[in-house]
Amino acid sequence: MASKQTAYELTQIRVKELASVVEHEYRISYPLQVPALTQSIRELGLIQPLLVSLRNGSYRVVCGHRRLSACRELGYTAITCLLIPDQPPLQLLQLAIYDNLSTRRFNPVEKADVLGKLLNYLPKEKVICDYLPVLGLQPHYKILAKYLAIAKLEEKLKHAIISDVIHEGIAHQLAGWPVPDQLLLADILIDIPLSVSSQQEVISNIWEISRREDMPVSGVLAAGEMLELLNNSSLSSSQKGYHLRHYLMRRRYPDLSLAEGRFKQYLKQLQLPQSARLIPPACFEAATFKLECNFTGIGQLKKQLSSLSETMQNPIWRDILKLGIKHVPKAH
Amino acid sequence: MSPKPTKIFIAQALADEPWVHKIINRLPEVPVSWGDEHEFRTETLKKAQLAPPPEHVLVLQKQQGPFIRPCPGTQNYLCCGYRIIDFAANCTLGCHYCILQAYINFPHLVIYANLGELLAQLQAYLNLNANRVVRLGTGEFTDSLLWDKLTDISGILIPLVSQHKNAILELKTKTTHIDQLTALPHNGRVVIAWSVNSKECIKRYEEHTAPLTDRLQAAAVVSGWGYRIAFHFDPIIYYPGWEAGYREAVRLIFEYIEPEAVAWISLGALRFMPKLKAIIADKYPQDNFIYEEFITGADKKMRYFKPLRIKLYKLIYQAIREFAPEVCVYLCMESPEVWQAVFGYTPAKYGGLSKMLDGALNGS
Repeated sequence: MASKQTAYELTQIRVKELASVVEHEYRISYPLQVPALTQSIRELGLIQPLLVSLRNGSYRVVCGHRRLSACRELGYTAITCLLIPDQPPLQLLQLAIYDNLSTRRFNPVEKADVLGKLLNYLPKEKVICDYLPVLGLQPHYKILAKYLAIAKLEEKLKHAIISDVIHEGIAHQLAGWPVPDQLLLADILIDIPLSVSSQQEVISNIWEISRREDMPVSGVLAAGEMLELLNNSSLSSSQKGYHLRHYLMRRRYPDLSLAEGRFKQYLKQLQLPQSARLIPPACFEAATFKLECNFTGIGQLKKQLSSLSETMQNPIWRDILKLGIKHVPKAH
Repeated sequence: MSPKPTKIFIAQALADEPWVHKIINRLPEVPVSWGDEHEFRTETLKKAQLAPPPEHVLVLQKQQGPFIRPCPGTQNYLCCGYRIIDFAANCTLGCHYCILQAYINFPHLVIYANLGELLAQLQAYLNLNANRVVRLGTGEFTDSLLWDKLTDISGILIPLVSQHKNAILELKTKTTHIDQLTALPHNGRVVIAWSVNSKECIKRYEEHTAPLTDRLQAAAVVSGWGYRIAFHFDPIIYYPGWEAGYREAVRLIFEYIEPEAVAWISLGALRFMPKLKAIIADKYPQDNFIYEEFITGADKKMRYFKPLRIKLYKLIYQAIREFAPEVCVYLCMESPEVWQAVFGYTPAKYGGLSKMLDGALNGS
C-alpha cells in the first residue's frame, strides 16, 4: 500500500488572522486553558507548531487550540504553523482526532464533543462501529446516546465531570433535567463528595422521587428538610452526605423505612441481652429472622439463653414478627 | 393490532419441514430468506448494537433444547408447577412491563418449527406421565394465540393433549384470536386463559393487546364451545385509583362469564428482574409505574413491599369472592406468608399448589 502523507508548509501566521476563523470546527480540547501549557510556552516558547489549513482565504486551526489560547494569553502576535492544503472537513476533523489521540486520551467531555462533530459528517452506524472503539468505548448505540447527552450538559457539570467530581457514567442521566436543576445538583455534588455508587443512588433517588411524587426535580431539591441539611453549617461534608442519602432513601422507600424505624423502636422495647442481635429478613420479605448471640463459655451461654428466654414473655415479639405483613402507619 | 412480520427468516435445516411451508404460505406477501440460523442470530445481535431493529422478522428455526420444560418459576416462592411447551419465544404485543424484554436478548419473534420433534417429545412426555395430572402451557415465552392463525399451533396441540385423560393444556393470551378453536376436540381438557388487567393499565401499558371487554367477549364465546376459562391478573400494577380499576375488572369478568366456567384465577403483583427497570425507563420514558416502592425479593426480583402486595391481593380476592365464592383463586409466585395473610391458608392445606389446581379442574 502506498504511504499517504500530508504535504505541509512551515510558516508564521498572525494570531489576529487565526482569531478570525471558526475555531470550534476542529477543536477537541476541553477545557481550553491549561495553566501548565501556558507556563511551558512562557518559559520555553512554542515547541510544536499549530496545524492549520486555509480555506477561502481564512485560516482554520485543525490542531493546537490550547497552544493558540496560551499564546494569545501570553501576547503572541504571530505563531509558527504547519500549513496544510485544504481538505474536506471530515478529513480535517479526523486529523484533529488522531493527532490528539497520538499524545493523550480524551476526557469524557472531549469524547462527547468528538462524537457530536463526527455525526455532522457521518451516519450514526459508522460513528458507532468505527469511532466508539477508537475512543475506547463499546460500539453500541446506547453508549453513543450517553455521550451525546454529556455534550448537552451545562458547563458547570462538564467541569465537574473532568474534575472527577461527577462520574461520567452518571452525569448523562442529568441531561434530561431542566438546566436550573442540573446546576442545583452540581452544587450539591461539588459540595458533598460522594463515591460513584452513592452519587448514582442520590441521583436515581431524586429523579425517582420526582417521578413518583409527580413533582419537578426542583421540588424535591427544595424540600424543607433537604435545604435544612444542605445549609447546616455545623455538619461536615461527609455528615451531610450521610444525612442526604438517608433522607432520600426514607423518601424514596417510605413504607420500608417506616417498618425499619418501627423495628428499631421495638428492639429497644425488647431489651435483648447486650451480646444478642436480632436481624430482620432483608426488606422484611422472607419470614425468617435471625438471632445472633456471642458467648465465651457454657456458663455465659446459659446466662444468655436465660435472658433471651425472659424476653420471650415480651408481647412486642408478636409485633416484630408481623412487620412486613401490614403497613406501618405513619406517625402524626 | 400487533405488528405483522416484515420479513421471514428460515433456518436452512428446516427446508423439509412441512409446517414451515404451511406458515410461509399463510404470509405470501412477506419476503422470505433462508440461511444458517447461527449466522443470522450473530448478525442480528450485531445490528442490534447499532440501533433498535426497525423491522419485525419472524424467525423459523430449530429448537435446540427440549420442547417440554418445567416453568422456570422463581426461588423461594410457590410455583404452580406447570410445564411449558416451548414452541416460540418473544411477543409483539408490546406490553411495557413485559419480562421478556429483559429475559430474551434476541429482538425478533422465533418459532421453533421442527414440529416433528415437538410432537414426539410431547407424546413421550404424556405417555411417561399417563398416571399423574400434568398441566401444560405455551404462554410463558410468548402469547399462546398471537400467531395461531399463522401456525395453527392450538389446532395441532389440542387434539393431541386432549386424548390424555390426565393432561391439561392451558393457552394464555391477551388477544381475541379464537376462531380456530371452534371445532377442536378439546374433551374438556383445555383451558383458554386470558391475562387481564384494569382498563387503565391495559390502555397505558398493553399497547397492541385487545381491550378488556373484547377479551371477555372472546372468553364468553370460547366458554360456549365448552372450554374451561381462566384469568390471570398478572401483573397487578399499583397506581392511584387501582382499587376501583381492579374491582371494575372483576365485575366485568363476571358480567361476561359464569363463575362455573372458570377453572381458576391467578393473582400476581408486578415483579421483574432489576435490569428490566432501565429497559422500561429507556423505552417508555412516560411510564411512572417502575418508580413505585419496590424492594429486592428473595428471588432477587424487584417486588412491591410485601404489605402492599397483600393489600392488592386482598382487595381483588374479595372482589372475586363477591361474584364467585367457589372459584379457585391462587397467587402466582408468592410466599406462604403472603398466602396466609391473603387467604388465611397456604397451598399446603391442599397438598401443594399443583394439587390445588389439579383439583380445581376436576371440580374438587
